[in-house]
Amino acid sequence: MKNYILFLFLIPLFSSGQITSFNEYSYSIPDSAQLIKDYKSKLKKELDSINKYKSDYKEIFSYRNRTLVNKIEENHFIQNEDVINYFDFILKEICNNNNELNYNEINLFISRYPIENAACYSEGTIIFNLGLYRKLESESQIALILAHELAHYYFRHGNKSITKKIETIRSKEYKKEVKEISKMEYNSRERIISLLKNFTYDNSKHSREHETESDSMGFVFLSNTRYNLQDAIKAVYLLDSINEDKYKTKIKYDSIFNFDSYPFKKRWLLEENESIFSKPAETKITADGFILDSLKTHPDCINRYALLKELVRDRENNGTVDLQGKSKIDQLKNEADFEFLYSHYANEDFGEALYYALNLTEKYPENLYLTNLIGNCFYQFYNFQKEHELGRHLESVSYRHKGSYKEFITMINNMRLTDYSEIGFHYMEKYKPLFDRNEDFYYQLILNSSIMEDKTSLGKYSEDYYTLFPKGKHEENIKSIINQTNKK
Amino acid sequence: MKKITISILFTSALFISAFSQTKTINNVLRSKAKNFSPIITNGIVKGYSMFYELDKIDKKHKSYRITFFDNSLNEIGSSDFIESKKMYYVSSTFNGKSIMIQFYDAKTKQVILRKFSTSAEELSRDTRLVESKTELMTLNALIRSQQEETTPTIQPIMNKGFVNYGYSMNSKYAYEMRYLPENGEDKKWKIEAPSKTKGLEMAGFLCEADGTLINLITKKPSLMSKKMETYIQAVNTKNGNVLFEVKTETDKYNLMPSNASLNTENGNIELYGMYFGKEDKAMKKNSLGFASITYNSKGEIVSESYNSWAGDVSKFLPVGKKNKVEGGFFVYIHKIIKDESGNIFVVGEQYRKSASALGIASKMLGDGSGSVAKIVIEDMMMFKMDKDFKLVDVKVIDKAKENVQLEAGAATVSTILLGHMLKGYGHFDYAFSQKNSSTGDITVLYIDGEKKGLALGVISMVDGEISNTKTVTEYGKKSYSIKNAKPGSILMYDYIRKEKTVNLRIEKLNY
Repeated sequence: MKNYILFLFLIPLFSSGQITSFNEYSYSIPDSAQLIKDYKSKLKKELDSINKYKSDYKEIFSYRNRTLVNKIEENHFIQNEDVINYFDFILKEICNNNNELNYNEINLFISRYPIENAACYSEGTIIFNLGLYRKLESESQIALILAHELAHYYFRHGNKSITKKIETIRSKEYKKEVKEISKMEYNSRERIISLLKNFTYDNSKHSREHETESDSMGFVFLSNTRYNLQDAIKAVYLLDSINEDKYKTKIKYDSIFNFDSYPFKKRWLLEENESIFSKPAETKITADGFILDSLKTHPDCINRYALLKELVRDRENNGTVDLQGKSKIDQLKNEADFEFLYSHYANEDFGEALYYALNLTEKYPENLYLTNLIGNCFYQFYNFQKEHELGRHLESVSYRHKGSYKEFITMINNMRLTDYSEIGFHYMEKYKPLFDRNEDFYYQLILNSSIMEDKTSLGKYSEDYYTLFPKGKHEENIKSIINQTNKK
Repeated sequence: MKKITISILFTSALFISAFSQTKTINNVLRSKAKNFSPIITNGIVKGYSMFYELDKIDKKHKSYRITFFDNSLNEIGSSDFIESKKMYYVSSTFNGKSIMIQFYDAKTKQVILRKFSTSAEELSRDTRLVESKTELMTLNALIRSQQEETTPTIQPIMNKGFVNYGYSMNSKYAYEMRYLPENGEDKKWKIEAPSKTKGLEMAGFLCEADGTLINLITKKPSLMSKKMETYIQAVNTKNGNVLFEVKTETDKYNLMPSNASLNTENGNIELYGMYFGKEDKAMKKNSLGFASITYNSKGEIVSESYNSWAGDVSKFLPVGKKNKVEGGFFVYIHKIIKDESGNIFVVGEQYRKSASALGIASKMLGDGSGSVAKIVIEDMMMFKMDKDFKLVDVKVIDKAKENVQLEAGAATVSTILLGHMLKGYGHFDYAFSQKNSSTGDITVLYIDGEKKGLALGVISMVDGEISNTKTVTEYGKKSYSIKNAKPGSILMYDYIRKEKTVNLRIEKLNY
C-alpha cells in the first residue's frame, strides 16, 4: 500500500487553466552528501566557539542539526529549478542591497510543508513553506517574509533564546528552586507550575520582542530593495486569516458523488448530534493557570500590520510588486496547489488531500491528475478502514471546523466501508470515456475495482489493460492484485 | 532534578493532537484505562471524562483533575479538586443538562457525587456514607470492571436530576434510592425498602420517562437462598411516591426482566427478559425462553408475548445449529434494543458447561483442589422480534470457542448463575451495543481473540436486517483497550509504558 501512486505525478494536465503541463517536483537534493557534510562542519565550528555550558549547547545544537539533516535526507525540500531560482533571486535582491547580510551564509530551502509558515534556524538555514507562498499574493510579499527571517538571522535571535534558556536553567536561583522542589513530598506540583510559568512567560515575551524587532529590521532590509513596500506589508495582514481555505468554492457533493448505480445518500451529510459538548468554554487561562495571551510567541498580526503601516506611511510608493513578473508567481502558485495536494497525500493525510483535490476540480475540471488522486483517496480510505486504521489518516468533525470543510469531513466520516469502495469505483468509471487511453488512469481504475465486492469489473478492466497496454508498466502489479483477489 | 530541567527546556504540552479523533497524552506515570471513560446516557456515548491524580497535598489528601472531551476527543475543559488519597472513579452519566460523576472514597467509605456543567465547571458535591457490605461489593465490582457496559448505581432522570441507588443505613441489605434534583427548587426524596426483611432487597434502574421512574426490585428471603423474586416498581419522580410495585409474574410464568421501556403515548411499561416456569427457581433452572410483558400505568398486565427456546427459536435455526438450543447450551442475554421502526433485537451469547480434563485429572490424583467443570463460551446469537415481540428471525454468529476454567466450588453453581458470574468477570466476548439516533443503525461489538490478533466482530442491524462482519487486526489481544464511542465507532486506548504515553484513537466499525 505504501508504494501508492508515484505514477500520479507524471501526468500532464488536460485543462484550459493556466497550467498546460505539470510534473511533480523533485525533492531529492543532488549533492545532499556534501550538504550534510557542510552542516556537520558548521556544527563543529559553532561548538568550538563556545566556552561555557558546552554540553548544553552541544545537546541543543546537535538536535537542531540532526533535525535539519533528517529533513534533507527525507527529501523535504523542493528541487525544482523554477522555484529555487525564483526564491534565490529574491534572496539575492535583499542580501545584495544590505551590507549587513551575507548571501553565502544563508541556506534557503523551500519545503513541501502545507503549513503556512517560514522559519529561521539561527545558524543560517531558512525554510519557507510551500503552504505559505501559495497563499501570498505577490513577490513583494514573499520578499517581506524572507526579509523578516533574515532579520532573525541578523540578530541571531535563535541563539540568543537558547543562551537565555541555558543561562536561566544553570543559574543559582533556578537550581536552588529545582533542588527544593525535588525534596518536597507534598504540593510540589504547584511549585513546578510556578517555575514553569516564569520560564515560559519570559521566553514568550522575548519571542514577541524578537518578532517585533524582526518586523522592523525586515522592513529596513526590504526598503533598500526594489520591492513595493505598500504591497509587501499586506503579507502580515494576510497572516491573520492565512488558515482559511485558499479557494472558497461551494462543492456540490450530492452531485459529484451521485451515480446512477450508487446514488448519493442524504445520511452522509447528517451531522453528529450526540456529543453533549459543543466547544470549549471561552477562556483566557489554561487548566494549570497559564494566561494564554502571555504564551503567545508572536504579537497579533493586526498590531504588527499597524506598526508596518506606520513605517511605510511617509515612504514613496514606487517599488515593483513583482520584479520577476506576475506570470511567474502565478505559475508557481498554481503549481504549488498541486504540490500542496501531494504534500498531504505523501503525509498520508488522505482526507485533506481529497478535500483540496475536490476544490481544485472547480478550477481544473476533467483533470486526469485530480481524477486519479480522488479515486486513489477512496481506495486508501477503504484499505485503512478495513484495518481500523483510518482514524490516523482522516480527521473527525470538530467544533473548529466550519463551512465547506466541515461538510466534507462530516460526509466522509459518515460513509461506511462499502461506500468508499463503491464511490471510488463509480467515480473512476464516470471518467473512463475521457481518460481510457491513459495507462495510469486504467491502473487506478483497476485498483478501485479490486476493492469492490463484485470482482467482475476487476477481471474486465484487467483484460482491457493487457490489450491496450501490452507489456505495460503496471502489468506485474495487476497480476499480483488478481492473484491476491483469487486467494481470498 | 535533571528531568525537571530538561522537560522545561523542551516544554511540551500534556496533550498533543495530530487530528481531532486522535490524541496523545504525555507524562503518564501510571495508566488505568478505566479512568478514561465514556459518559453514557441511554446507552449512547455523549463524551468522555478522564480522571487522574495531580499531586499529593498532605498525608491524607491528593489533588485530582477531571478533564472532559467531546466525542471526537477535543478537550473541552477541566476541573480540579482535593479529596482523600484513596479516591476511585466509579461511573459517569449525563441527564441532558449536567454530568454526574460518582467516586468512591475508600478511606472514609463514602460515595461522592460531583456534578459538572457541560463547560466542565463543578456545580455541586454530595456525599453518602456506605455501610452495607453488599453495596461495597457492588462498588468494588464497578471500580474494577473492565467491561464497557455495566449497570451504574447513578442514573439520569432526563433534564430533571439523578437517582443514586444504594443500601439503607438502617438495614444493610435493603435498598435505598435517593433523588438529586437538577435545580434547588425541586424536592429531594428518598425511598427505602418498605419491608423489614432479613433477606436481601435490591433496587436497580430499568427506565424512566415523563416523570415516571421504573425500577427492578429483587428480593431474596435470606442471603444464601436461591429463591428470588422480581418486581417492577413505578415511582413518581416529582415527589418520590411509589405508584405501584408488582411481581413480574403471570399465571404461568415468572419473568426476570433485563430491559424495559416506557411508552410515553399510553403510559404502558414494556418489560423484556427471560421467563421461567412458575414453580421453577430462577437461579437454578434454565429459562424457557425470552418474553415481554406489558403493564399499564396502574401496574396491570395488558399483554404478554413468549418465545421459547425449544419451540420458537429452534424453528429459525438451520439444521446444523439446532443443537444450539437443545444440546445443553444456555444463552446469556446481554441486551435488548429497539430500533426506530419498532423491531426489537435481543443480543445473546452462548455458553455451556463441560468437563475439564485438567480438573478431572487433578481430582483423580487426589489433589482435590481442582474444579471438575469448565465453561465453554461459544457463538453470538441475535434474535429479531417484531413490535409485538414475536420472533421473526434468528442469526447465529460463529466465533472462536473460549474455554474458561472455573474456580473450585463453582461447578456446583447453577448454569444460570454461572452466566452472571461469567458476565461479572468479563469472560464473555460481547463488549457493547450502540444505537445511532440519526440513522437508526444498531451495532453490537464483540471482541474475539484469534491467532493472528485481535478480532473485532460487528453485528449490525441496518434497516431491520442483521448482518455480521469480522476484522482480524494485527493488534495483539491485550495491546488495546477497546472503549465505547459515538455510534458506529470505537475508541482504542493504548498505554505505551516505555514512553509513558497514552494514545487514543477513534475508529469506525466496519459494517
